[in-house]
Amino acid sequence: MVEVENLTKYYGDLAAVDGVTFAAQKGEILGFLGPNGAGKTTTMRIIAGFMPPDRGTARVAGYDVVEDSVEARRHLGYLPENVPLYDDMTVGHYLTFFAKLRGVSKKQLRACVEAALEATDVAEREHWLIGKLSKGFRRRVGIAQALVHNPDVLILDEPTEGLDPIQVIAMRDLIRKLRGQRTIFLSTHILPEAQAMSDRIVIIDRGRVVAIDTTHNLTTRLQRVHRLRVEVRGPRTEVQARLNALPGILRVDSRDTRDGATVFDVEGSMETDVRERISTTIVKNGWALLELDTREMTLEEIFLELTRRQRPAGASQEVAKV
Amino acid sequence: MKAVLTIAEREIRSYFTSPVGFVVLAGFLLITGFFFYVPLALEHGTLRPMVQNTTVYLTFLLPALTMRLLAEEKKTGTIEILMTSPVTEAQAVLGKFLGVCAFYVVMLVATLQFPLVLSVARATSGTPIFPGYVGIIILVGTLTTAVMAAVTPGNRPLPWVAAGFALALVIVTILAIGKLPESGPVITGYLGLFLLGASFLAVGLLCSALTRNQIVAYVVGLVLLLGMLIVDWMSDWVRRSVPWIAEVISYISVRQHLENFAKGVIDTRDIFLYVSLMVLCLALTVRAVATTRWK
Repeated sequence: MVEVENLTKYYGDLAAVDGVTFAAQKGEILGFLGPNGAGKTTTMRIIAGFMPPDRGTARVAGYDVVEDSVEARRHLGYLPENVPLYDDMTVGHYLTFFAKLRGVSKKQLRACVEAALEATDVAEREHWLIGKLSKGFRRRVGIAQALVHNPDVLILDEPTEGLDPIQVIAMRDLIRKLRGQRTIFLSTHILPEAQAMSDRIVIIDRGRVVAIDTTHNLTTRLQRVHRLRVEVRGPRTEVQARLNALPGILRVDSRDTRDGATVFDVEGSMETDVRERISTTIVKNGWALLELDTREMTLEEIFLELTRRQRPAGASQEVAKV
Repeated sequence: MKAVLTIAEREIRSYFTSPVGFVVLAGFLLITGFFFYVPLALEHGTLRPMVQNTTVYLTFLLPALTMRLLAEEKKTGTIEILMTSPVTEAQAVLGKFLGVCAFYVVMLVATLQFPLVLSVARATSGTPIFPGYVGIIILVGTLTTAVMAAVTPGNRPLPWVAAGFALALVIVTILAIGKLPESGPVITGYLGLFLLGASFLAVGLLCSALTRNQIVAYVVGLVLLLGMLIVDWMSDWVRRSVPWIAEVISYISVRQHLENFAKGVIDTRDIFLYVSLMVLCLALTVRAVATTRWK
């Protein structure tokens, strides 16, 4: 549905997007993840046909966004990051305008507008002026606009940006609900968002793709140590010494909790499962094992790991701020 | 073509839902009414002074209509959604131009009351003051309608305006039993006013495409149009010393070409000037919109 090949775009001398290549299948939600200024918006604008690339090609539903620009644009709906809508129009008029503009026939006009209102849950605001809507409703009207002509591809730039936590959850549900046969391509700089909303993630940094994979694969591929969180009631130094002595354990950190127990962050090697050894050791010594939990690598860590590999050593400080 | 009309329709609608449209319309009617009434009361009853003076105040009013057309879209970013819809730059620009032209036609139609009043004046030439009063009553009527519509947001104002104008026209037509005297110059005068206004709007639209700031778009548009007027005045100063410059200026002067229309003369040269100015500005606007996307 969306095929991007070697996409490059310069702003002056700076390559905002540098040889980006990826593809999204039909019915897939593809998350585009990267820090602010990584080139996400530029890539999306190129795919949406708003600006042409300097090099490379992008195709939407098989149509080149430069060569067959108008035809490609017929098959996509796009919502820019800051949700620019015509504030002096009512929601209904606004959706009707874009449905007409994108070639919905007169007969289907009303049905299309109603379907978009329903899908995004804004039907009760149909006669409101857009300028009077709250941020959450505004964003939903923006999404309604993008799908009013029933496009194959939805491009959403930072769909959860600026929403409160409840609205963020509603937005995630909405996006999952919209999937169906559509390809949804969304961007975010918030890592758990990408994890929660998308099937596959494209990680981009400074205009280059650093990884494309499912969230699960990304975590397992990069994981080099087994991380465990062990909560124990017992003498801290002694427990730590015993755990450290076990075979297969690489590192143990500890800290006290408020209710007198101790939490040990344990790193074990990937080859052996050290959980059994830990639990028996603790129980045998008569201490109380309160919790034993495997910790997967967070996307923050994945992101730092991936970008650190790509960057020269001196640049790592900058990454840490992300 | 469907895309062009869809965009044009949205623009017209937005003139009737924002205060700008009403303010410009009301101001236009007020000034036009003044320039119609004064010569009528004082001396001869023709439309020529009104048509000629119009050039000057259209220079100030029309850029106010065009300033937001593209500058606002660029500032708020709505142009991103518009231009990622399947429309070409030319369609978008043409749609906006047609939209603002249609609003300008509404403005001109609103002044049709003046020639009608004039015909009443001729029909009942014994009482020349009476029709003037009728004109003023109608003017007040239309303004009231416009204001009524403007202060009731959310309601559809178009029916209000239509009802106001319809009422005004019915009253005047009933009064205008006599036929319209000098109808030729009136018709050509309106044709000239339309062409002049449309080319002013094209200049304004171009200015709106060059900036994200509406005030800048207004001022640049105003300066360009004023420049065209000043060039026209200059032709009078240099007529004695360098006649050929005055000659050249008279070919490109938007004001002098309107004079022919006001006299009742349709000259293809006059039409050509306005149309070519429009085409030039619209073509440049299309390029300007394309360039903002390229960056």
